[in-house]
Parts: sequence; C-alpha cells; structure tokens
Amino acid sequence: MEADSAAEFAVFYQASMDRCLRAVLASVGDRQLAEDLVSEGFVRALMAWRKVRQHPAPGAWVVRTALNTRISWSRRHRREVPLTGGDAPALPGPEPVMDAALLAEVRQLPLRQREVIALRVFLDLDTQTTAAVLGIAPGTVGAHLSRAVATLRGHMSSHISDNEEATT
Amino acid sequence: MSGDEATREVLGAVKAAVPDIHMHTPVQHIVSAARSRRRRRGLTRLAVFAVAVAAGLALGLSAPGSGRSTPGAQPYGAKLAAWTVRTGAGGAVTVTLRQLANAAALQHALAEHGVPAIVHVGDSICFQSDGHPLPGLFRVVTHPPGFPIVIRIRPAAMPHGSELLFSLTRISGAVAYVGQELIRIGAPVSCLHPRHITPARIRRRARADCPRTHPSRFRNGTKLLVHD
Repeated sequence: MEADSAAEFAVFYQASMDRCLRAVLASVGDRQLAEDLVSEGFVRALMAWRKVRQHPAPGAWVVRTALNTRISWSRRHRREVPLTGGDAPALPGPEPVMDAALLAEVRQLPLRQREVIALRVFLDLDTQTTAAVLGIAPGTVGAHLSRAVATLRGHMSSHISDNEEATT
Repeated sequence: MSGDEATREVLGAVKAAVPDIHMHTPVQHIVSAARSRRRRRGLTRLAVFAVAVAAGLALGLSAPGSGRSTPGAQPYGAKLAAWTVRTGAGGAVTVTLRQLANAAALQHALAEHGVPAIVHVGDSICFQSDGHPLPGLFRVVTHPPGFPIVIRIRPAAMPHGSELLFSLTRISGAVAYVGQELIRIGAPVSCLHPRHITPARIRRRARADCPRTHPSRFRNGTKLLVHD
C-alpha cells in the first residue's frame, strides 16, 4: 500500500513538476525560489497524499501551496539582511531568458488573479475546475481572469507602441 | 478582436514568456524530505503528549480540592494550587484564591494559621443574621482587586472571640466574588442570593464596618452611593 502510494506520487511528480514550476515561476520571477517553493509544495502534497490524490487537480493543489508558502516565507524572512555581493552564491549556469517585462506585470497582479492565470495558463484547467480549486464561483474566476487580461493587455499595448516609436 | 481572442492572445503571450524550464529536484529528495518531516512531526507530537501528561500530573497534584498551606517563611509551593495560605514574617496571613475547591480544607488551613473562619462556597453571600457584624473588618482584612484573588488577614487585629465569615462565589469555576464579615464566634449566620440583598443591608454594613463610609467621615453634601 505504502509502495503503491510512493509509486503513484512519483508518477504524479514526473508528470506535473515542470508545469507547476512554470506556473510558480510566472508568479514569483525567481528561478531558484520557484524551484524551492514547488519542492515544498510537493513535499506537503506527499505528506497529505491520501487527501491530495483525491483532489480534482493535484497539480493545482501544489501550485497553490507553493504560492501560499511564498507568502509565509516572505513574512518570516522580512527582516533578513540580504547577502552582500562577495557572499552571493554562484549561479549554476546560464538561465533561459524570460519576457521580463510581461512577467513583471504578471507579478504585480493581485494574488487571486495570479492564481487564476497560473491555473488556467500553465495547468490548463477549465473555469469550473479552477473555481473548485480556489473555492470560488466560476463567475468570479471569469471576473479575475478578465481583470488580469485587461491589465496585461494594457501593458502589451503600451509596450508595442513604445517599440513602434523606437523604430520610426 | 473579440474578447475571447484577446484573452487567448494575452494568455498565450504569458505562457510564451515563461521559458521551457525543468525541475532539477529528483523525486527521492521530495520523498526523503517528507519522511524526515513526518518523523520530526511524530517526535513533536510525542513531546507535546509527554508535556501534556506531565502537566496533567502537575495539575492533578494541585487539582481542585488540594489547596496548599505553607506555614512560616516557606515559599509558595505549588503555584497551580486552587488556593494557597501563607503566613508572612509580620504574622499577616495571605490567602491566594484561584479556584473554589475544598472549602472545608481552606477553613482548616486558615485555623492552622491562626485565623478562625467560616468559609462558605456557593451562589449566596452569608451574613451574621442577628444584629450587626463586629466593627473593624477593614483593620483585619484587605482585599486588593485583581486575579487571582488575594486576601490579606491580620489575625492580631481580630477582636477576642471573633471569627471571619467568607462567602466565595464562582463563575465558570473561577472565583468571582469574595464577601467577608467579622462576626462573633457562634453567632447565627444566614445566606442570601445576591439579588435578595437589599441596598439597606449593604448601607448598614458599610456604616458599621468602614471608617471611610462612616457618617462621621462624610463631608457635608456627600453620601454613599449603593447600586442595586
């Protein structure tokens, strides 16, 4: 029974880890932090596997847990002093380039809108499942999504017009 | 462009903005982290259980019905006791009440500390039923506000042939009110529910007991206000 659960979790982990990582990365912007948060989400998922395996979208459970963990970690480390340059750990290798401006705009969105974006875009959940995962009404999911899209669209339009001005 | 198309375009841009990255953490790390956390949680639960059992034992030792009497200069023993009685260096007896438990034992402990007293626990407040209580209660007993309730008694100030009558009431197990009288030993005592105690009785008692409310201490135009 224990072995079955472990095998089941391993399959789930392999299948969903990268999607969860991308969903969290879009929200936090830091590759290493995103990986730590997703790992934490999976550790908690494994600890509560009997419950999580029955969840309508276990990957969404992990993403939500990771995003909530981020909030509690930032509260806990609010007063920490950042490392000075000389003590900073070396990066393991070149990081893929992100559309930094757009993702910065995503990170400015309220948490609920970011959650909706993460679940809809990166986990491909439909409105009903997203609503079930977040514990809100489907109409509210739509409202959050349309507000987020409006904000991001405004950013994209201004970005395009800036580029056009630069080329002329 | 329709709303749906715009939404698809924006969401597609967001999806494309995040690179195709992969988790580097192997599943074995996740599994071992969860295992060690479960183990720690088990140990924590065990420790909490052990502390709860120890606390239960400690409370059991000082549970209701087992107050503590510490004569002489001995320090307070169990601070969790329902009540403690202690005699200080100047001969003053300090009673600390946390819970109303074992009134008979408290009465006995007071007697051992040289304070003849009747301790009544219940919903009612007791009085000497014939005539007035003895004057000078304020010289014998002081009772500062706060919790736990602390009563300081000076046995030396008690008139010869007198005893103290304490009425203790409780709300949800905690001591809620302390009434006290200085009465003749053997005087008849009756107890009344607070709603049956008339302001006239309280006025009469206040005039007899307390010099601050004695008529001779009142300035012109002032009077004692007693709420029903």
